[in-house]
Amino acid sequence: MATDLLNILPQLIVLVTAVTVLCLEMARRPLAGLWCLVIGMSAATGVAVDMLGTETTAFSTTFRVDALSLWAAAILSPATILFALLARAELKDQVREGTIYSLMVFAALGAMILAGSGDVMFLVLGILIGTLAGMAMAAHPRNDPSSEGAMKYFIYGSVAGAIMLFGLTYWVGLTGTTLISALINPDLSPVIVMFGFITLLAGIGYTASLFPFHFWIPDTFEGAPVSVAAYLSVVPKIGALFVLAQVVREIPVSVVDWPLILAVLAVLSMTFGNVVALWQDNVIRLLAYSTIAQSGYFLLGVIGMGQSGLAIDSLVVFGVAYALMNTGAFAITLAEGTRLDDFKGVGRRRPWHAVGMTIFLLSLVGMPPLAGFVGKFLLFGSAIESGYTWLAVIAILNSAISLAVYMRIVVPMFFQEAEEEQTKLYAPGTSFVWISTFILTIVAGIGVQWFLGGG
Amino acid sequence: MIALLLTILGPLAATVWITATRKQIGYAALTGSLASLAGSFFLFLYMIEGKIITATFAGLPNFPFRLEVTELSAVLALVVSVITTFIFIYAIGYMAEEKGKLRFWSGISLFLGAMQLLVLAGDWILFVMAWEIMGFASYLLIGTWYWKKEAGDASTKAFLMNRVADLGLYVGVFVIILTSGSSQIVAEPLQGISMAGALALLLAVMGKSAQVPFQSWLSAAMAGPTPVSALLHSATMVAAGIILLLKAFPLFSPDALIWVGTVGGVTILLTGATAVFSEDIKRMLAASTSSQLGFMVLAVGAGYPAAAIAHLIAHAFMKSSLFLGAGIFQHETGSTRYKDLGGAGKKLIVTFSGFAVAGLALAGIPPLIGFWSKDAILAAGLQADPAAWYFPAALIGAFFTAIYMGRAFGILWNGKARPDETPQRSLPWMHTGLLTLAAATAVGGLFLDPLVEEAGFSIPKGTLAMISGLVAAASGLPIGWFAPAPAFKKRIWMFFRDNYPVAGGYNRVVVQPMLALAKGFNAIETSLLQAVFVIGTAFLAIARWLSEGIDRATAYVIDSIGAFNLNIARMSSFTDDKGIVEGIAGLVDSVQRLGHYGRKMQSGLVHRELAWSVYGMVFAFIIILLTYL
Repeated sequence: MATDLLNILPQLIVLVTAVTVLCLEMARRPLAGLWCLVIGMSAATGVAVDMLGTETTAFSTTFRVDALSLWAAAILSPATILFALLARAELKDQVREGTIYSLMVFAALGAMILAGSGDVMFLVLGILIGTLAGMAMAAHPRNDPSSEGAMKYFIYGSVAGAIMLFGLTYWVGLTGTTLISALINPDLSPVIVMFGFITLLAGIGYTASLFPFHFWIPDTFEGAPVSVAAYLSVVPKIGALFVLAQVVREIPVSVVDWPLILAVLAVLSMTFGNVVALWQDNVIRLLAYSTIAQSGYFLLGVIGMGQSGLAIDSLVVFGVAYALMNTGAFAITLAEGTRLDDFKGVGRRRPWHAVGMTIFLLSLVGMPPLAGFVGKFLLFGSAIESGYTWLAVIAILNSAISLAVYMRIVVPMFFQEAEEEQTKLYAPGTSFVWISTFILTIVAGIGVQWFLGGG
Repeated sequence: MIALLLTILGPLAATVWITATRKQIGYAALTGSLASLAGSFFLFLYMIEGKIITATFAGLPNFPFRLEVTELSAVLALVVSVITTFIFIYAIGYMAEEKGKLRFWSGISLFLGAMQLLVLAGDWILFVMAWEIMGFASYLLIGTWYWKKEAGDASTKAFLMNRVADLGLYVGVFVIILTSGSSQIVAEPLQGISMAGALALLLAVMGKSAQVPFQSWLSAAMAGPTPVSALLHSATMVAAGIILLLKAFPLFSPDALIWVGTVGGVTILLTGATAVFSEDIKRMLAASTSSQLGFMVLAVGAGYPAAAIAHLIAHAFMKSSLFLGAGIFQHETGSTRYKDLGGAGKKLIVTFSGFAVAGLALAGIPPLIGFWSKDAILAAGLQADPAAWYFPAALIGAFFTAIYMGRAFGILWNGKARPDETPQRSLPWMHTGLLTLAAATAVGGLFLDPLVEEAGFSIPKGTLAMISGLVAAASGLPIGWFAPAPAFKKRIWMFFRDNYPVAGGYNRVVVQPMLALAKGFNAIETSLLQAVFVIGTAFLAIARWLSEGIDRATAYVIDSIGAFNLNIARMSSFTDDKGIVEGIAGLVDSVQRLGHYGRKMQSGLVHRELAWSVYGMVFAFIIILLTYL
């Protein structure tokens, strides 16, 4: 028991932090809550980084302590700090400011539990914690658009969750245990394994915003505060995609051809996300559709699980890269405004914001030498090694389309004049967030070799 | 090492300076290019001393970035920086009174830095990176005057076409890395590179170097300022394709080389014909660029990269001079169409002589630089297998070249000059750039041979090639000069002139379907929301009606029918034409009118969308079931 607790130390620290921040909010001390969050999450990051390389399980193999779950903790904890700083910049001195902080930590905990699930109970628990906390955050402004978005998020989540639970009960019935690793037996009835897998996809696809489970994304993002939208675009998604990787590596391809179905979803998500993003006039909506497309890229890494040596590396590296560049892009959107028109003339008004945004967007496209390129490079490599060359080709073509999407933000920044000269004020916390992600986006891109411990 | 960094980072630093300070931008760019010139000059000196400089630094795991100064890359880097420096000098005069300076100078410095990076790249990933930056910079540059529709369209066209072809580069590089296990660019032949990988690289070359069928972006790119054209068409952009071909040459098997030669030959002939029948001096030059690049591709296909290098260097000097000359004519007459340019040469005698020297060189008149390089390609064609394809293609191409240059000279010199207008531009800057480059084409022939030998190759030569090349040049020039204008205006020639508008061209085949697809998805999204509204409301009305108790039935039936009708009335007004925005506006409106209905209506949206998710799951289940069966 004691070793079990030590093995899940990062997650435990996050849990304690979440509860403490909640208590501080009850005492109406939001600033203290923020500090507590920063300290707690830094500690969780430190412990998780220190534990990297451990390969074990906790609580009789129901929770996995491996590269995926530790990296999830190492990525999501610092990311949560950045999002909390953004939230501070956006929601400072509002009533219920502190609830956001505690909900953010709870949702991060959900995602971390997901990433280490070795058991369907943990899987369901992780999705539920994440969804409930996320919904409450999305509803924070208490106006019509945000309530609508949160409502959608909630209803969608309940239905997808119910379907998933329904399917998972068949798995449990079939194998007689809730452990995911029990599925590896090739003698199980394939139709039931398939059925369970498809319903599982509904639950995970909803959390990870994969087409066709993405419908809540644009409205929820638009209604929620920018910092919450940024949070929802990163944290639950990474948790969900990592757990998908944890599940599929236990399912024999001979029983369920899951790489094929994931490949189809990847193509649909990438193409739909990029193509619809071309039509958005609102930067948040544009980024929302772009996150759908980015989920599609993630699937290339999941497909490589068990078939390509690059799969885990690619998921981790793209996870880091995605968290960095998406956070940065949302931070600058928070400072500059959410309409495309707000970005006109930023290059003249605040040249560094323009440069930063350009770097983040080019990284999202996958331009070398930025972090996004390295991630995509590994993802494509993973897909090709698994025999899905056609998928890699479609993904590359999609990267080409996505350049057109992101150029829609870059071009007005540098080459159009603002209609009226107004300088929106923004809090210094925003600058801290985008500058640190900016530096890391470039450093991570160039220094992946060290990043992966010498490859 | 410092020289290496200076060569690449000089122009990039200039870009940063220009975007950050916005002061003295022309001179800052010039300083950047001079730094690059100095850097590449030292690299060249080191290379002569026999020092090979490599620098390895961080990159992907097991695939570090490498910069490498080989014989070839040192020579090319020097050529690039020399030409660019003179084009920059010219551009200071040209852009003096134009708008869009900021975009122009920052873009063009970025462009130079990317080109040098591409030349000096020692691994494929760095190469791809430089290639992409250059593509982006060319998009900015072609669209310098983005407020003109023509310029915006041209930059989009160039960009999209190059993106399609770039796909080849990505696939090719992936194949190379996966087969060889290393991203390093090597000079030795590599075993096991599949035909498909080589052909994918060829696709990238065809896009960047404007080979048939990708030639049309190059003539559209004329919408940018002249210095941009001069740069794109000579030592950079299009040359990048050839550099890719040279770097990848060891990977091509003889089977793949035949494809390369075919692409080159077809391009020489088709775009050569386009140049002959052009009615616009810049379009003529653009088509000529494709055609001359075709010569280089052909030479590589024939198995003589030396000839391609020689022609790459020679063409860079010749074509940049020609463009700079054409730019001055354009500035003075305000047009690039032949009918407006008649006799312009007599007025601008200095410009014309610079233009003529470069043009004669391009036609292949000895002892100018073009004679030697064209001779090399003809000789390569004779020794290639099958010579029956390579040699005639090159020879006819040379003949076409002489005709279109002769025609341009004839029009510029003979035509009726328009009433005099006073020259208004800062000609000294422009003439310095033009005349220096033209002088280089005049005497460059003497240095071409040693230069290519420095690069580690030897140029093929042959008496038969030399004589036939001379005959082609000597017969083509007078034909072009004397042929009456109407001879070029027959209907059938229009087909050549307009760059083979087969099936509406590229625009119809790629751009429009892409936009239509985007529109389609958007329509699905929109109609989905509308349908959702209709179905959701009706569904909810019924659901609510059923859920109420029987005792309140009468009152309730009246209520809900009223509400239902109201909705139907609203809906019919929706479905007419409204898009997503009005749908939402209407939704808000009906929320106010129908009070408590609002929330449920929104859940109606979700209901429909959830159905879509379920369809998706069923679909996935069917697919997976099929694979099992």
